[in-house]
Parts: sequence; structure tokens; C-alpha cells
Amino acid sequence: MKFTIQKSTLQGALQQLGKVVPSRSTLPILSSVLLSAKDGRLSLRATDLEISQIITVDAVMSAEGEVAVPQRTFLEITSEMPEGELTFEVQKNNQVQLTTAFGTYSIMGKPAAEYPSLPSVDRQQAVEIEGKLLRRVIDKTAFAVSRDDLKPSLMGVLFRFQEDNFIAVATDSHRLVRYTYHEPPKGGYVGDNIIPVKFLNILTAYLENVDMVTFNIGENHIMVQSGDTELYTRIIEERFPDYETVFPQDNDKKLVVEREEFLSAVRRVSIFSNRTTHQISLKLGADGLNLSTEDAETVSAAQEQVKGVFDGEELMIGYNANYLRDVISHLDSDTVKAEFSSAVSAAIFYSEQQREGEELTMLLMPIRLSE
Amino acid sequence: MRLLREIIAEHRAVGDIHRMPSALADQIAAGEVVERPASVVKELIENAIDAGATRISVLVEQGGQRLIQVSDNGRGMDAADLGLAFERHATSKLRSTADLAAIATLGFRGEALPSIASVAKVVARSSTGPEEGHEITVAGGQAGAVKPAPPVGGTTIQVRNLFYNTPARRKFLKAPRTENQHIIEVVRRFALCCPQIAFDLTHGDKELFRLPASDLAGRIGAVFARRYKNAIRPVALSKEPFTVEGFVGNLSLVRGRPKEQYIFLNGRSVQDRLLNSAVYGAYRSLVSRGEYPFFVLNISMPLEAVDVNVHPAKSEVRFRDEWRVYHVLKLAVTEAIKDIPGMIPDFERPFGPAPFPAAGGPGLAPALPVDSGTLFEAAPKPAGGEGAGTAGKPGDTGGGEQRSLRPEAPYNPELIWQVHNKYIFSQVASGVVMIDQHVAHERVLYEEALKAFNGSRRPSQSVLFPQVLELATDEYSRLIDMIPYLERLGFRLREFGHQTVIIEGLPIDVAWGREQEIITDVLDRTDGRMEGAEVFEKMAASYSCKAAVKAGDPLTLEEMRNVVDRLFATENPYYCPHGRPTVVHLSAAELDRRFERI
Ligand SMILES: Nc1ncnc2c1ncn2[C@@H]1O[C@H](COP(=O)(O)OP(=O)(O)O)[C@@H](O)[C@H]1O
Ligand SMILES: [Mg+2]
Repeated sequence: MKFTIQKSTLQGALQQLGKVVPSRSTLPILSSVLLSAKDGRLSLRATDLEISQIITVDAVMSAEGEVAVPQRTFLEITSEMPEGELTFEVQKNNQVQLTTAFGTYSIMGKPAAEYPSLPSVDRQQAVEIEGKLLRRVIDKTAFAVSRDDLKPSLMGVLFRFQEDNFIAVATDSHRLVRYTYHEPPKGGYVGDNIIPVKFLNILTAYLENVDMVTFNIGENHIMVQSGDTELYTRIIEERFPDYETVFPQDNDKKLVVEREEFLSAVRRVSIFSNRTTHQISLKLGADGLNLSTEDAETVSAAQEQVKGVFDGEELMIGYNANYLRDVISHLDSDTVKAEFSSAVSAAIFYSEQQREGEELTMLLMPIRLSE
Repeated sequence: MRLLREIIAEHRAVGDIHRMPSALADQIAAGEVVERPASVVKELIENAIDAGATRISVLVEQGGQRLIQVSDNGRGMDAADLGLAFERHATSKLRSTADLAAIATLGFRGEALPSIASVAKVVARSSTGPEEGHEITVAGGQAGAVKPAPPVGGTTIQVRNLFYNTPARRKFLKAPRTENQHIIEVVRRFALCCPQIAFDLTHGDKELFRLPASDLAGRIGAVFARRYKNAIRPVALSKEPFTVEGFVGNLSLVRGRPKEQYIFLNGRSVQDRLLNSAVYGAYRSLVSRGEYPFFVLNISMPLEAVDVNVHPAKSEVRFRDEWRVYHVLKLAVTEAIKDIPGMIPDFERPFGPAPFPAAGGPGLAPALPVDSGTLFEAAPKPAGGEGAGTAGKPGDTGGGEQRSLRPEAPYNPELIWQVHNKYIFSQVASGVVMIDQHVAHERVLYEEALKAFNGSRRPSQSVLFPQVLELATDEYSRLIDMIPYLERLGFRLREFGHQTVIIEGLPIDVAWGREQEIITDVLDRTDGRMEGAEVFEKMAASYSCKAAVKAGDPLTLEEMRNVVDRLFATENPYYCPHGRPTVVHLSAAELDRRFERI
């Protein structure tokens, strides 16, 4: 295997793959990237067994072949190389030799056969989504995904492609986001897929200047192509909880507040909350709401009044300040509406003016405050 | 059959009672004073101290059996005294019965020298001034004449061939190595008792101690190991008419055997269970059963308040009011160790003043527990760097936004790692702290649970998708009884009929999905026969064990800090509810030793 490549091209590809390479893994080969020179093309691949990424780059081929090279080391070396061309050659025993105008360097590679193979995706089913829309969906939902691997179904965003709309849902069982787009994406595919959040976070970086992306949906995997990059992900094969039934129907206590004011008050008050429980309480009344917190451990307390319109019986309700902050900060109109029922049931949060063609709704479960 | 009595009568000659030859009487008496070579060393050092010596040298050969020689620079004896010193009950320290009530010297019975001389060959040399000295030889109790000799600047007593004339005693001597251990222990004891006196001890051609005059902390470091000096806390309490002074060790000096505990009463080493238990009592929550903290304590009290004349070896005492002494001692130690962070093996407090001036060591105690040396060189440095304490304010630690409001814990939140998804390591100035994540979290939850049962209910996070728990009839009714307590922990349960409950809310520390397992375990570990506090303890133990993070759970930086901060805010951070340790400290000195740097 031998090829010549621009240093900056190689460096760029290795950098991108670094996001997929797991920081620690029980399988040492995963800290390497696989380089394949075949049919006059050079491709680089990384995987964490759930997500795979392939980048195809321009290079001048001299000999075909494959080898796995430790990503971190390879990137560090490449970054220090002078601008210009660099020749990569595999010698016997997977010994890799790099040659530049300044000298030769050699590092140890690993046999390509040890590297996990690429998942196969049947490309019959495809959905096309606007890059901008997909970015927005990810931005509005990913934060609510659970990080607890006890509930794998909650570690991704549910993408629900339906005949007349497209819905994305994320929840960690304490809060829930539902994003509805009132038009179905192109392609005619109908179905539910839970997509791992790590994949979505990597994907979103490629969506900046892309008009349309295609989701190629297979039995167990999804592949998304963007320019010279292919991203694969495993689909989380679990049942997503029945989220529609938890949307309350009769929350009759209604609050309208300025979003920025509300958000900054929550930020300030939460600094004084208990670091484990993060509990703050909202007292809802005629003049709007009163935020307060008290932490016996550190003997700190705070309270703030936020002006607003409240319609309904007075209510005292507790929240995890971080969750509340996340919810408010991911809404994007000037005014926020919230509807409550009791101190132990879900409240609904949404923007007063929804954007054209979409609906963004969030649910937040309270904390019953300590005594 | 003949009676035993008759047989004895037959063999008994009339007028058989007789006075023992004085040599035999001395030998019998010697049995009480001179048990082994170490006892000789003890008596001779006592005499040297009583003579006002400021330097005492001990030389032994073959575990003391061949030779024990103690030289001092004390006031010495003139020719007449030298002759008298070896006579039974000859002493310069006691004149009247009244004196007996207030004994200020270590010796007073006047029987050590004659006892020793009855079972060995002794040569005593002494001088009271620079001009001339005298010597006397006593062997097997037979004293020779006092002869002039060159001055020795004090007194030197040579004891050779101990027990040469008492084969029974000799048989009981252990190997020289063992006897030598006892001698070392005797010298160590006096060295700790009198740090202002210079001591040295040589066994054959091996120098075992060379201790210049020092303060007590310095002497502790010299007698044990240097690290002891940084692992002790001062004790100082005066409560008329008692004074307690000295040092107690932190948890790095806790040992599995009762070995390094020293109490001196008015300058005399005493072994007294009650006094020891006063110290252990003060440590109670910090050490578990079968563990012994280090201490060197001096108690002063009026001479009349204590009787030292209980046993010829003089290490037992009787107090006029022993419970008073007990309480004062316990109070003194409690005071000294109440600053918990300082008790953690080898810690500097992160931001507070150093617990006491770190004697020696050019760097002095740093304000921040930043990396002090060679370990973990690759680790990221804290934002403040090693500068001259500029980062000393708690608010400056950056990173954790709410840190400024937290109590300080003896670890470094900037230098913290998870190891094997099981332990939390943090680098501190003195070395490395290692915390068992499960046990630490368990301790936190356990105390929180007990507090919740006793008053303040824990908050409960409601869940969107409540789990349903179905139980057998008897278990169901037991669970219903238990609901009020589970609610205090932060669960929110609702009866749902058909032997099912819905779990609508969870304690903050419980991840959604764990609730069923936790509640069933609490059910399994309690039963209807338990009452009161026992139920609470069992519930708290089961809850904390099940709800705590497990070995194997990866933790984020924030989660690690949270667990550790909360651990050090508990009442008993060092042990889990089952008595296992939560925190282990590995000192930089220990690492240096392992890598043979020192
Ligand atoms: N090292 C010494 N320096 C000065 N005087 C000593 C020394 N050793 C013993 N003596 C004198 O000998 C006496 C007898 O000693 P000893 O038999 O140990 O009895 P005690 O110490 O109980 O008086 C002491 O009272 C003291 O006067
Ligand atoms: Mg004596």
C-alpha cells in the first residue's frame, strides 16, 4: 500500500474521525482508523461499533492495500508535518513509513483484518430532509435525551416519519420534548427509528451548508451521506415509551412570561440551590411567579420575582433548576407559555408564537420539595 | 492407705524454718524487678534520668545477655554512695513515709541495683566532678571494695552475664533478637517520655538510635519514621489540676495491633487500660474495632493524686479519682481530633490554615493542595497553577460553577480521576486520596436516609412513565405499611389495587429504572418483627447499598465531585455503614519509598 496526499487533507480527515473514535474502549483496535486504498480511491474509517464514519479523500495511488493506524498518534504526527505532500507506505509487518520533504518517519500499524467490518445498509428505504430542518430538530431535542444506560430506549431521539408529518421526541423520563413538522419529508418512507444521540451530535456538524440530506434506512442501521463523508449508525432497537398518553389534557393554570427574564432569574436563583437536588420552587400567583431556593447544607438562599400573567388558582411547585433552565432555553419565542395542574403532575411549556409549519412542546415533571 | 499428711510429717525435720541467705532473697526479689534484659535497661535508664542526665547511651551485646552498659552525664555518686547503692533498700530518693505520698522520681524502692547485681556481674563507675571517680564491682550479690578510678563525667554501669547464676531464668530468655526488640521498645519509651534528653542505643556494632535532644514532634519523627511527624495532631488541654499534652496520630497511623500507644503520667510511663480506653473512646467513630490509633500523651497531675507504688516494675498506677482522669483525657483527645479533615491521613486542608506549622520541609504547607512533586506530571494543572497561593480563595477554582458555596473537602476537585470505573483518585499535596465510589455514595445515602426518617423528608423527582410494581399478598401489605418511610426517602408511591403500587416519584439519587429493585430489596431485608431504630437502620442500609452507584459505573467529573463533597459532609466519612473504609490515603512519601527514591 502506497499513496501520496496533501498533509492538510489527511489532517482534516483524521480530525473529523476523532469524534467517532471512542476515548476508552475494551477493544483496543477501535482507537485506530482504517485506511483503504482501492480502485484509485483512499478512504479512512473510524467506528465505536455503534457509529461508523468513512471519509473519502483525494490521493495519488501507487499501490492498493489496507492498514489500521492509531488515530491519536497519526493525527499528532500529521499535524506537525510541514505543508505539502506526504507519502504513506506500508512496509512489512504493517510498519508504516511516512516521507516528507524533510525526512522519513515510521510508526507501527495493525493488520486491517482486525478492524470491524462496516455495517451493510439496504438502501431501498430513503427519506430526504432539509439540512437546516434537521439541524433544528437535533438542536431542540438532543438535550433531553437520557444519559443513563439503564434505559437504552431513551438514549436516542425518536424519529417518527408519518404520512402527513414528521415528529421527533426525546425524553429522560423527567422531561420530554416533542417536535412536530407539519409536512412529511420526501421519499414516502413511514416508520419509527430511535437514533443514538451521539450520532446526531456528530451529524449536525455536517449539516451547516447542506441543502438536503438523505437518510438511508436499513433493517438495523441508518446511513447518511454528505459530500465525501458517510456516517452510519445502529438504530436503537427498543420500544420507545408511549409518550402521547403522558401529555396532560386539563392543565388549567396558565402562565405567560418573558422568556429571557424567566431564564435569567432561574439561572441566578439556581446558583444558590442544593448541588445534589438542584431544587428550586416556583410560587405561581396573580403577579406572575416567585422563584426561590434554600440550601441548608451551605446555608444559602435566593428568591426573585418574575412579572407575568397567571390565570388560575395559586400553586407552589418545585423543579430541578437544571431541567427548568434547559426547557426554557430551548424554546425560542420572546414569550413562554406554561400550563400547570398540580404540584406533582407534568407541566407543559411552549413558545407563545410557534414557528410556521412546526410545533415545539415540552413537558417537565416537578420535584416534590423536601421538608 | 496412709494419708499424705502423715508422709509429709515423717519427712519434716523439726525447726526447718530458717532465714534465707541474703543472696537467695535478693535473687527472689530480683525476679520481680529483673525479668529480662530489657528490665535492666529500664532500671538503669530510670536511675540516669533521676540523676538529672541530659545524655544517656545504652550499649548492649547479644540481646543484653552478655552486656548491658548504660552511661549518663548525671550528677554521679561519690565513693560512699557508690558503696551504699548496691545495698538493699538503699535509696537517696525517699526518706520518710510522707515522701511516699508524693513521689517525683522514677525510682524510690532502692532495690534495682542490688537485684541486678544479685543475678549478674556488675561494674559501676561514677564521678561527681572532673577530678576523680570511683568504681565498684559486685558479682552474684558479693560487693567488692570501692576503688578510685578515672572520672567518667557521670555514671556508667556495666552489667555482664545476666542470669549467669540463675539457670531457671536464663532458660526463659528468648533469642537475642527478641530480647533486643524489648530493649528497643524500652529505650523508645523513655525517648518519647523525655525528648529533651539525648539518647543513643547500640547493639553490638549496630547503632539503633541516635537521638539528639528535641521537641516531642521531632522525637516522634526520629523514633518512628519521618512521615509520623506530618501525620500527628497536637493535644493540649489544661483542666485544673490536670494537664494533657502530646500528639495523636491521624488515620494513616492507625494499626491493627495495640503497639504505638504511649501514655506518660508525671513523666513515668504507665500502662493503664482505662486511660487507653479514654483515647480510643475519643476516636470511636473514626476507627473500628480492632484498630488502634497512634498516640503519645503526657498527663500531669498533683503527685498526691496518684499512687505509683503498686508493683515493683512501677508501671502500674492507682488514681485517687480515675474517672476524672478518664474524662479529662478523653476530652483532650476529642478536642484534638474534632477537626475531621485534618484527621484524614496526611491531608492539608484545601483552603484553610494549616492545622499546625509543618515543622521542617522548606516549602511549608501550601495553601492549595496542588501537585507538589513528581507524581501525575501529565495531569492538567489546576487553573491557578502553583503560584504563591493566589488561587487560595475557594471561589477561584473555576470549573464547577457552584463550587464557591460548598463546604471544603480534603481532596482536589481539579485533579480527580476515576480508576477502573470503581475508585475515585484525587491528588493532594501530601500524596493521593483514593475513594471507593460505591462505599462513599453508600455512606452519603445512609446518613441522608437516617436523617430523613428522623425528620426532614428528601425531595422526590416525579417521573413521566411511572413503573408498576406487583407483589404477593403478604408482601403487599407490608409494603403498604412501609410507604410512609419510603416517602421520606423520596419515593412517591400510590396504591393501585390488585396488589400493585405505582412508583410515581424517585429520590434524586435514584436513576429511573432502579426503583423496583431497590424497593424489593428494602422489603426483603426488613420484616414485621423488627422495631423502631432497627427497622430504620435496616431500611437505610438496604436503600443506600442498592441506590448507590456501583463499582463499574462510569462517573462524570461533576458526579465524582458531588459524591466526594457529600461524603466529606457526612458525620462519619471514613467508614461505610458496614465498617469498610471509604477513603485510603497513599502518601507521596510512601510512593517515594516504594520507588526507592528515599
Ligand atoms: N546513674 C546514677 N547516677 C547517680 N546516682 C545513681 C545512679 N544509679 C543509682 N544511683 C543511686 O543509687 C541509688 C539506688 O538505686 P536503685 O537501686 O535503682 O534504687 P532507687 O532508684 O529506687 O533509689 C539511687 O537512689 C541513687 O542514689
Ligand atoms: Mg532506680
